[in-house]
Order: sequence, then C-alpha cells, then structure tokens
Amino acid sequence: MKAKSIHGKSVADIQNALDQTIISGIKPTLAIIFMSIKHDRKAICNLMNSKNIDVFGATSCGEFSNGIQSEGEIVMLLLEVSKDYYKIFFEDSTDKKLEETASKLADAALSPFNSPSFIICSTGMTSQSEYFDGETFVKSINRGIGPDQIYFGGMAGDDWTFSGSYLFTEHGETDFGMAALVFDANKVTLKGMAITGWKPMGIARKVTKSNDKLLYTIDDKPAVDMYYKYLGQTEKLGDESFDMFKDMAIYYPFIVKKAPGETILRSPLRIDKTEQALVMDSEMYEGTEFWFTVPPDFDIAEEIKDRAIALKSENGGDADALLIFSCAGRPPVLGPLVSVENEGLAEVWNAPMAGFFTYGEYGRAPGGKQEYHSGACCWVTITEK
Amino acid sequence: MIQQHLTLLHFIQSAIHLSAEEKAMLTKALKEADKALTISEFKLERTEKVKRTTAILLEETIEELEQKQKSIEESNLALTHSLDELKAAQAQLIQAEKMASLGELTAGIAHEIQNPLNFVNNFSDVSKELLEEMVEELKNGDIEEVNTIANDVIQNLEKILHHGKRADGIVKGMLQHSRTNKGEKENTDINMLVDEYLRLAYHGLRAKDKSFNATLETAYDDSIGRIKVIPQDIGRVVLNLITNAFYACNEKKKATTDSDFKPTVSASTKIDKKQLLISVKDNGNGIPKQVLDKIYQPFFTTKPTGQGTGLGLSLSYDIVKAHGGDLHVSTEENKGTEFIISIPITR
Repeated sequence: MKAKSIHGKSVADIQNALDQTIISGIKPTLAIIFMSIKHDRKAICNLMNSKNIDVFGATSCGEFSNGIQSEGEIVMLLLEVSKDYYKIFFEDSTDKKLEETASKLADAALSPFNSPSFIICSTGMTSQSEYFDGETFVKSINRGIGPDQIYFGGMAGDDWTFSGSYLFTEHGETDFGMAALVFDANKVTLKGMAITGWKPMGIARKVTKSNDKLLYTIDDKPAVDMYYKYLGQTEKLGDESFDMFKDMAIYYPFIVKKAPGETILRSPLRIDKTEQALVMDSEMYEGTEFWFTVPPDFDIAEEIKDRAIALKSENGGDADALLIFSCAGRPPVLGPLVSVENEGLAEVWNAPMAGFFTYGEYGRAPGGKQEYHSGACCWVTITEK
Repeated sequence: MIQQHLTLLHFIQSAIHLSAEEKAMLTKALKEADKALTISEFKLERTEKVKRTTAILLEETIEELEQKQKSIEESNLALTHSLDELKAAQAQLIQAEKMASLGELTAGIAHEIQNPLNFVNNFSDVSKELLEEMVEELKNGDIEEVNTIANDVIQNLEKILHHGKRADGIVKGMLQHSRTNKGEKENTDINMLVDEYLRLAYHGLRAKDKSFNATLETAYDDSIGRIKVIPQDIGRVVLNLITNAFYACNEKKKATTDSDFKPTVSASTKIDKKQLLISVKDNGNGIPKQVLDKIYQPFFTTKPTGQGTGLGLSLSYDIVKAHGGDLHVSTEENKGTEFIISIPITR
C-alpha cells in the first residue's frame, strides 16, 4: 500500500496537492478526508470522483497531518490500495431510529469479507444542535458485529460552532448518520488504541438521581451546584457569558467506572435550567460510581508514544498509514502538547498521518472493551499485509 | 513566535555574513527554541490553573469529609445511646418474660402448695388432739398409753415436716425460676422435673380458664435417672414448651366446631445415642410454614399483643444451645406440633 497525507486551505490547494501526489507516482484509490465545515464538500467529492478515488470523509473541529495542525482547513490521507480490499458503507439516520440504522450498518459491514476490520465514524452534532448518542451507537454496533470485533473512529466536528457536523462519501452526506470503512483483514491490518490521560481526583462519587442524560444529584447533592462549587466556579453560575462546556467541562470531565478496572470519561455538556440538572454526553445511571478529574499530566504525549512503541514491538514493522481521532477537548487542555502527541505517533509508526479533532471517539482502551469515549486520543494504523 | 525570536529570525535571514546552510541551521534552532518556550509557557499557565482548581476541589472534598465524619460521629453516639437503651429494654423484657412465666406457674404453685398445707394443717390438728389426750393420760399415770400417743405424734410431726419440706421445695423452685444469676449444672431427676412443670402449667391454665381441659399423656423413661443440667433453666424451657402446647390446644378448641376434639399434651423422656430427649407434643393447629423460620427470633410472637413477649422460644433455644444441645421442631398444619429438646448426657 502506498499512502500520502496532504492538506490545503481550499479545494484548489487540495487539487494541486493531489496532482503533485499523482505525479510523484502514487495512484490513490481511497481518500480519508477530514475538513472544516467551511469548505465545499461536494466540490471535494467531485474532485475525488474525477480521479476515481473513493471518499470516506468527516467534518472536523481542527485537522492535522504530518507537521501540520490547522483550523478551518482540509487534510486527507490518500491510499493506493486495491478496491477489492475495502468497502465503504454509509447510513443516513435522519427520521430513523439510531439503533436500527446502526444495526443496518453493522449487518452491511459484516457482509463483504470473511474477516473484516473496521473504521467507523458518526456525525457529532445535527444542524438542530442535537448531540449524537455515541453510547447507544456503540451498543448497537457491538451487538451487530459482535463484542470481540475491534474498530476505531470518531464523531465528526463542526469547528465548535454546534451548527451541524457531517459525514460524506460518494453515497451522500448527512448531519445525522454513520459510515464504515471496512477492510479485508486478510489483506489489510488495523492496530490502534484509545487513551485519555485524565486522572481521578478526590473521593468516589455516586449518581443518586438521574434520568437519561440528565444528572440531577451527586451523593444526594444538587449536581449543578456541586460541579460548579467543587471546581471553584460558583460565582459563574447564572453568568450567561460563561460557557460551562468549553470553559470547564472540557478540562474537568468525570471518570466513570464501567466495570472492575475499566473506566471511561463522561462530560457534562450544559445545564438544563428548567430541570436544574447537568446534561451529560451519555446516560449516567443511578448508582454509577465516578470521580472528578484532573487533566492529563504533561508526560501524556510520552505515555501515548511509549504505548505505541510497545504495540509496534509486539507486531513489528512500520505502518503504511496512520489515522488519529483526537478529542476536540484535547487542544485547549494540552495546548502545544497535542501536536507533540500526534507527531510522536506519526514518528513511531513512520507513516503518513491524518487526523481531526472530534466530538467523540470510538475505540478500545488497552485491556478494555469497545467503547464510546470522550477526551481520548484514539489512533489506528493501516498496514497492507 | 514571540517578538524577540522574530527579531532574531529577521536578523539571521538578513545577515550577509552567514551561509545559507548556517542560516537554515540557526533558523531551525530558533524555531525549536520558540516551540520549547511556547510549551513551557503553556505548562506554567496550565499548572497554575490546575493547581488552583485542584486545591479548591480538595478543600471542598476535605470539608465534605469532615462534615461526614462529624455526622458519623454524631450518629455513632446516638447509636451507642440507642444500643444501651435497647440492651436495658431487652434485659427488662427478659426479666419480664421470666416473671410472666412465673405468673403462668402461680396458680399451679398455689395448687401444689395447698396439698402439703392441708396435710400440715390436718396433722397439726390431729397432733394437738393427741397431745391433749396425752396430758390426760399423764394425769391418769397411764405411761403405756402416753408412749403410744407420743409415737403417733412423732409420726405426725414427721409427716408435717415432710409436707413442710415439700412446700419449701416448691417455693424455692419458684424463686430459683425467677433468679437472674446463672445457675450451675447439678444432677437432676429429669422425669420429676418434667412432670412437675407439666402439672404446674396445667393447673396454672386451669386456674385462669375453668372451661379448659386437656388430656395429659406422659411416657417417662425410668432408666434416665439423674442427669447434669441447670435445673431452673431446663425447667424454664420445659415450662415454656408445655405452656405453648396448652395454648395451641386451647386455641384450636376455641375455634373448632368438632365437638369430639380433645386437647392433648404429651410429655415424654428417653435416651437415644447418648442424648437426653425430652418431647413436648400437642394436637393444636400447628405452626404455619411462613412463620416457622422465625419462631426462635427474639420478640417474635403469634400471640395477641400483651399475651406473649416473644422471648419464650428464643430464650429456650439459647438455654438448650448453652447445654450443648438442640431444639428441634416438627409441625403439621391442623395436626399439631412436637418440640424435642436434645441434650448430650453428662452425669
């Protein structure tokens, strides 16, 4: 497999970079595209179509490729790989039940190869500002493809505008849907992991009252008051200019206990003023145990790199390409260390890399189950056997 | 890039004395230095922010834990107080149970004391008459008759003494029954003990309810002899089981329309595999299945409020266990119940 990552500030830039790539001897068959919602997705798809390149694309909250980290631009990973080795499936869930659409995608994704491996993405926010239910999506996909199957991916972003994020392929585009890039695992190997780096702080807490994604009380205390008070922001309660999600929750999500030894990050998104409850990114059942957190240490980039080195030494050899789905909350929290993190991974795998900042990640933490994550750096290598 | 680094960069790029290679090397070094500075500044700023938030979070958590600790200490204090009160109430209830069972005995005891008292009174009357007769014979100088009368008086006094001791024994037993201190094991005639409490309980119930009647069946194994038990404790168990048996029969008698129903309580003793077995059986209504596993729980009772403390079987169970034995129950609804006390034999 030949691979190259390219980037540009416009469709014209991309056309130019694509032409240069083709001139250099690479004949891409597949483009994995991450781009700002500002750009013309149709134009990009048409461009790829004109070159007989299949498209698997998502909009972003910032993009990156080797040596580049940008906002409002376009990156793509171009792969020259036999079209017999992969298939792209796309499902628009508008006016449909998420579980049913996810189940349909899972069934379709299992069909083309005896031994499939998956990259699965979903939208993140509809144009009506409805957050995609990652937890339900993952449960449905896991039910469909089986609990042992491994997949990686992310939720599309929208430059933090909450105006709608999109998935797009040559089959169409949607602001509420999902897509799977399925490889023949006998021909193409995928390896990866999801790591957050957030650490628990203080004592274990318990959800004492909740309903769906609304979190009312923690240890029998009002959740909203407690969250603000314990993070020293009580005076910001009621302050309309204070964006709880961007100014607080991104830095201090919760670590939720899923199973013995297995935890996951869950984040408050906003306050439901009528209900006086925190609106979470996923349902938190009554009785759920969790902790307040502190952001990742500064050595998180080294930790992620070290784990990648360990995985590489187990499996041997460089990768042909690398995709990174990094939570949109990581840049504000980790600042310039995010690019150190991403560049470090590309360096370890010595491969062309593309990635984007997501509204949620799909993957497995080391030793964990297939989960919907937030706050994670989720990466996957693509290597032809 | 910060302003100072931009100035340096501009200087490097415009320096005519540097080769292109040197410029590239210096520019790269400058960019790396700028990146390192950016990272350091970020780390410093975030450290301050996180440190501040972490401190608040920990302070709030500590304050919360201190409040919880205070609340737990207060709860502990209240619980300790409640526990003391509960223990005192339990002690009072246990004593009340003893006194209640003593009450069950009172009528029987009165009945039992009446017999020796009758003997004492009768023989005292007869002895008085004999002594008056003896005085007459002394005046008459009939020494032979005096001797005969004196022998009769001596026999009478022996009988008075015997019945006096019998009454004394009953009173002592009653006192022993209500004592709170722990007794010591002593060789005890088990058959006599069982029989005595059977009769006391029966007469007690009869005294309270004249309409009540029951057939008493006994089957005592004479080979048992004397066995080491704490008599007042085992007596308490037997009394409790017999009282319950009579109660069960009586309740069935009151409720039944079967005119042929004859309340029957059986008491038996025997030795089996080095175990003393005391059985108390009734033909009452039996114990409902849903309460069978609760009968040994303290304060559990099926009797109407005020008629039972709910401690009888609980205490009985504890007493039998303290003797290294077991209290077994078998029951059948509408047929009756049998309790068997089994105690390892030590002589």
